[in-house]
Amino acid sequence: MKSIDEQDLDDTITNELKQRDQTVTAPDFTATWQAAQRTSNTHSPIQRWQISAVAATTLLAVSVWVGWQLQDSEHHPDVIAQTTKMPLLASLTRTKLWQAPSDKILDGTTELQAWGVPALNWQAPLSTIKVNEGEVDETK
Amino acid sequence: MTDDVLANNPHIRVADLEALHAGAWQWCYSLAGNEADDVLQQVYVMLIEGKARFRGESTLKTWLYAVIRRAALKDRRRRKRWLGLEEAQLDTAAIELSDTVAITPYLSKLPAKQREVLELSIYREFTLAECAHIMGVRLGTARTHYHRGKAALRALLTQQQQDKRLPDEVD
Repeated sequence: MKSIDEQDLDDTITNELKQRDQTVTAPDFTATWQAAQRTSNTHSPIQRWQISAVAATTLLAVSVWVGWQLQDSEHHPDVIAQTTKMPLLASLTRTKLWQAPSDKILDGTTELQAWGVPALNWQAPLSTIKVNEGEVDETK
Repeated sequence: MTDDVLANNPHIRVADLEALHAGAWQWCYSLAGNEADDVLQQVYVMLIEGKARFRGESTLKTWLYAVIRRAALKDRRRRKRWLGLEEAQLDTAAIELSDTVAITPYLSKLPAKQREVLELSIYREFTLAECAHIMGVRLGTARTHYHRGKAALRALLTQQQQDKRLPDEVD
């Protein structure tokens, strides 16, 4: 039997592919190029205002979510942070933005109590608060 | 066309792309079958927008073929997701689309990477180093695919010779 040498292999590959390429026709370059240009023209670059809008919407969504968590929760921010695995939340909830005045919380007249939030001093870390009493343990 | 340089790809002239167009489309057809027109158009869009940037580190032809290969694979993955086909089914679909079963009886039986390296090196006359660049693999890997592809092809041709001889021996 005739052995198959390297040239036979190369010829087989070349013939197969040449035959395939003869059965198909590449589209006209100009037509393809112009179609690509038209497609490219419809892709508008991302504008700075779009990035700002997305950032503002995200911030609003996070704020609403944090507010909802606080309103709906009867727990100290540290507990929320532990539960939600979001330490940032504890920091956020200790800011003035999210706090009622601590004296109002402590004397129980705040709106937060009306929502069912315990009268805790939210600025104090959880470890210093006597749970259910809302008082700060000054000795810690 | 013109000798214009692309704004987002200053190393590419439109005239050079035009010169490479037919071969590039055939390579695209080899990878993407009937989707070749769309894939090549997507590649041109990437060049126009500078999403694929040629820095002159290889020849334009080698670089363009590598971009086409990546785009064809991406298109294949996208179609796979949309159609919900398994890879093997998609391979079959692509082969049926491009009619390679009928036209390339031996090459179509080889694994994709072996087929690619043999087409690039023997038919399109790239060096193995260029094949490796286009395929995004190391030179040693390309060389392995090349030798395995040739061995597999030799086995197929030998088998065919034996099959032809058998009826004669029966007679």
